[in-house]
Amino acid sequence: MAKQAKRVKSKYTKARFKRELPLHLMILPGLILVLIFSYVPMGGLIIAFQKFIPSKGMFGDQKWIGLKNFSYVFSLPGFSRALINTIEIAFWKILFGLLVPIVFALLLNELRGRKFKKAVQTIVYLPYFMSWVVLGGIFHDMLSPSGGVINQLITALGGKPVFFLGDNRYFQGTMIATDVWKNFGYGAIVYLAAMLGIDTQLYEAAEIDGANRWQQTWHVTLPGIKMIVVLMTVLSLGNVLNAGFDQIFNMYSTSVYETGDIIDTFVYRLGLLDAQYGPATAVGLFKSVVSTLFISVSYFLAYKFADYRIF
Amino acid sequence: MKKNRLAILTGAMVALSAVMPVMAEENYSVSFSRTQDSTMESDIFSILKDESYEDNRWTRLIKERLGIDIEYLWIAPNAEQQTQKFNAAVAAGTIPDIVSVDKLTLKNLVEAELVVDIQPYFEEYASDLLKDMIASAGEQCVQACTFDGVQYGIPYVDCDIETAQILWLRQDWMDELGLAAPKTVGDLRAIMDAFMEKAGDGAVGMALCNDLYGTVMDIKGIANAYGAYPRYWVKQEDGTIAYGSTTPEMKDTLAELADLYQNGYLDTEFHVNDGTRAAEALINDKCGVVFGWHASALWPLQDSLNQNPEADWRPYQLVTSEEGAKVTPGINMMTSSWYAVSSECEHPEALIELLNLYCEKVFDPELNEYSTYANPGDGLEGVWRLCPVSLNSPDKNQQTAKAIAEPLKTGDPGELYGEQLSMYEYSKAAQDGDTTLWGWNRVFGENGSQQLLIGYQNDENVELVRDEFYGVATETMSMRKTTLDTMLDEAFIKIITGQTPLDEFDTVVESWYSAGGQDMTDEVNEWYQAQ
Repeated sequence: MAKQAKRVKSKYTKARFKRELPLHLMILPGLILVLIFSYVPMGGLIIAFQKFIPSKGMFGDQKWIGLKNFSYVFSLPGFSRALINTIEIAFWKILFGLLVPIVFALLLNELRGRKFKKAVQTIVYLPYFMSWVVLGGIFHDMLSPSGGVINQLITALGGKPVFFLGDNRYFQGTMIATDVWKNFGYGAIVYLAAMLGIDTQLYEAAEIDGANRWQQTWHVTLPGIKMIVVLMTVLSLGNVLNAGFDQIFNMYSTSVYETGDIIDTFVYRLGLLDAQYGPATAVGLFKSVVSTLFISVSYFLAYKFADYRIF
Repeated sequence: MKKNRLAILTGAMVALSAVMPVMAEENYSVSFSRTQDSTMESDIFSILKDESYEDNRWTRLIKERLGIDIEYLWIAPNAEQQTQKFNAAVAAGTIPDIVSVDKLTLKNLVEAELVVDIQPYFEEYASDLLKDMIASAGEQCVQACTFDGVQYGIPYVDCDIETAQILWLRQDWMDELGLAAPKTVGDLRAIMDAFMEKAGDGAVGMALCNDLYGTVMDIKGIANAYGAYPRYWVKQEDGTIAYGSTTPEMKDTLAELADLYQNGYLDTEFHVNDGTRAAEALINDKCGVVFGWHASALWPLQDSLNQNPEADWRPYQLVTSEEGAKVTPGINMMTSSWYAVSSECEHPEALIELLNLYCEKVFDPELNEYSTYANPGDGLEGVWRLCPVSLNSPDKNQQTAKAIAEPLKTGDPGELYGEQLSMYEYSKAAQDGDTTLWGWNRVFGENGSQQLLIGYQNDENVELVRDEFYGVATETMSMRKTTLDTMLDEAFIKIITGQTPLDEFDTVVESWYSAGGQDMTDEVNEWYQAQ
């Protein structure tokens, strides 16, 4: 193996470079975009270690203060609470965001009517495209304890009205449920596409071997989409500190800060309302480091246990 | 032939440019930046096809009278991008010649030595009219742009008294139920009882929304009744300054609000409802009591009239907690932006000259060119916005209310012009039954909010309480104020909605002090002593 690899390397000649040049050129614009918009802005991370005064300029004479921005943010009342809320909300969102689409895709895959299948697929995919600004307003109305549709249903069934958006006991659950509802259509489409790629001969063979529907799902469908599931899991683990700013910002209020205030909303109030760029950048950097850590670990686990490599 | 024409054209241009300098002493250009205003598209540019941000009646007038070319370094599509571009310009050290900034940005510009001492230019060039206008806004707004004794800005003066809270009541219900103007919180409760009974199912005693310190449907009105001034820095009996949200009076306020909530006077969902949602009760005849400011007649109360033309709201003075106590509305500095001149600018006097010109065209009663340069009317609204600088007469709304009071009775506009004439016409139309203009009449007309504000200033029984801090945010303030405010607000909402007992107030105030509130208070007192 090693010998072969060496041979391939040595064969990388001028002729080969010439032959592959168009391919390199094709990837160049994308590479430049990534450089400009993803790598160059990383230079701004130095702000996290400065007492940044905007008027002195990005590369001006700023005062270096080491990790003071970090310790300042972590010492603020409410930050640790926001961190815990973020992890809690993000964890359940990641978990249900993986499970619900898989189950839904499996169920949908079992359906026969093509038109019905397509229709359902389209309908559940639709909320994915709606902005949280719009949905926030809709949910405000639907979830209102006085006169909201959901609560009318609850009271009609003999229950007590629930203040979904104003009660700390329900706020996190509401955020998780509405987020999963909004996004599961997207995930389902990815899994359905993967299921379409499974060789039908496998099902036929399983049927001949006497496998029932459930056994076919368990032994053919699920192993067939395993790689996609692993991929989606690895990618979603990077979101462990992203609890969804758009959603929560549009639905929270002072009364549910206790369970609903997340790092992003906390930093929004700090960075944008108070114009404290240093601490805000510090939190951004902190989030990136944690996300990178999680992605790396999950990548390693995926390689080790599922023998799967994304890169 | 063609060559000939070109020659003639060039000749004409040379001749023209030779004439131009005679009209103005000297030609130079001054740079600005501005934000696009979407209403200007519909109000101005859709009608005046040959005018734009860069070339319009104001820029032409400025060119002709002062010989100044107005140049925009950028025109940002929205306020957010304006801020971004401006910050980028600050970072690069190349701000426009004349800038309009808030006090924090001004402080940053001063520290970066990007702006000039404007005082000498103001003394030398400002017209009497301009000087009068700036002076009429009081000391605070000039103090706020003075650093180490040097005045770096010209305040865009605004009216402080208009920040005072007012009580708005459904007058048609008051009349129908035979109720008198409330003096105390107790009277107000009796009115709420009567109103709620009348409004029936789903009635709300007093409208509140989640913006506890906004301009309308907020808690400031009821707080003022108890002598509390949340988010203000108020003078204590011992002469020191304390944060209004933490005083014992604030505890009384919360006790009252919690009691109101407990007894069903407040919407149980008020703390998640934004203004639009909270206003529904006012619009749908479900609520007849709301604290607001002078312009609440235009929103949300005008919407109530649009829904039900029979409705009628009147402004009342704030109530008090005890019988016979003085009415004590809080006011703060309304001026929030200042003009400053870049130290790169070769003609700092340009700012003063432009402001002189603006005052002359818009405010001078004798020249009276208001209809050309400010508000032509007939769908063409606010062309004053085309001018790169503008100014507000701080007491113009009170002046308008006074000026149109008599004409509204007689029906003769007489000498009125400009905005006063427009307001007279709106109010007159409303008086004559046009309910779509009702709001204007309730601001400027008889029994309007401006008359009530004039009353606040002249009534012996009213004592205005000022927010004593108007400087730039102190060190701790800029680091912690938002976080600390959040801490208090969370506790306040829980107390009001009965989730925690009232005594939680003492605990949260204590943690407020230890989490940075003490430092903030010390800094403010230090600043106050230095004034």
